[in-house]
Parts: sequence; structure tokens; C-alpha cells
Amino acid sequence: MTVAEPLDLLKQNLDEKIFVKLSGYREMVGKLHGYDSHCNIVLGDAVETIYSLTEEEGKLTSEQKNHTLVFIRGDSVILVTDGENL
Amino acid sequence: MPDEKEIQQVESKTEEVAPTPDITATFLSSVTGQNVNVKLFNDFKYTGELSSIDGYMNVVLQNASEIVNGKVTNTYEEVFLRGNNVIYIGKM
Repeated sequence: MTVAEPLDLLKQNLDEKIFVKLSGYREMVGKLHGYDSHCNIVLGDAVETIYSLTEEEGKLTSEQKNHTLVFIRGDSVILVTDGENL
Repeated sequence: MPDEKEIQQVESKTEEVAPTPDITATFLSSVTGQNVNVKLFNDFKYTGELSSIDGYMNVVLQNASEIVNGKVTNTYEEVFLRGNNVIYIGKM
């Protein structure tokens, strides 16, 4: 299936697992329930990963949070891709 | 009263200005299907085949590589990039 316009990629992935990269060093993986033209996204059974650097050593650490249903405001979306083979 | 020469100059000037907005649109449609570099504000760069683009500069790349500090950090079969993060799109 060809992608006529970029948002068709989201349409193709409806009810599939997607990976979303967000501003603020956050990532979210979950099942795509819905989206709109602003890239507002609703994910089910989502896992959020927040990356940060430790204050003393500057080591990269990450923290995970689970969401049963979550709405992501479109303006924080950087990247969306298939979440199955990560 | 402006003489004929002045009028011609003004006309030729407007003709020169006209292609500018047009070429940007032409560029964006001409690069679909080609390999491109997409640079984002977060200093990430993505290279891959541009499969589609819209007026917001939302982009879908196929077989894309994510490049940070000159190193490939990730590859994607198909990836959507939201237009507001885009600095530039360059033909390879």
C-alpha cells in the first residue's frame, strides 16, 4: 500500500502497535486507537519511557510508566513508526 | 506619468519574483521517490527514500536511517516525521 500523504502512515497503523518519539526525551509504545491531523494520538496499553541524565555522573538513565489509555497532544510528537520490530 | 521603459521594468521585476514561491512547491513534489536528508531541530538527521510529503512538511521516509553525531543510531522500514520539527529537506 502506498502512502499518498504522510498521515496515511498512521491510518495504516490503526489498531497496531506503534512507537512514538516525543519531545522532552520521551518515547511511547502502544496500540493506536485514534489520531487526527494535529497528530493528537490516543494509545491503549502504552508504555512510556523517560530518559534523563544523572546529575553527578551524567549517565543516561530511563524510567518507565504504564498507561491503560493515554491521549498525546500532537505538538509534542517528533516521530512515529511501527512498534512491532524494535 | 511613468514612461514606457519604467512600466517595462516594473513588469519584468514582477516576472522575476513569480518563480520563487513556485520553485519551492516544485522542489517538494520533485523529490518524492528520491533519497533525501531530513534535518530536525533536535539535531537528529534522517536519510531515506521520501515516500510522501504534505504542506506542513510532515514527511514519510522508507528504509530510513537515524543519524546522530555522524553515527547511525537506528533504522526504520517506514517512519513518519512531524513537519514542525523539520529544518530542511535536501536531495542526496
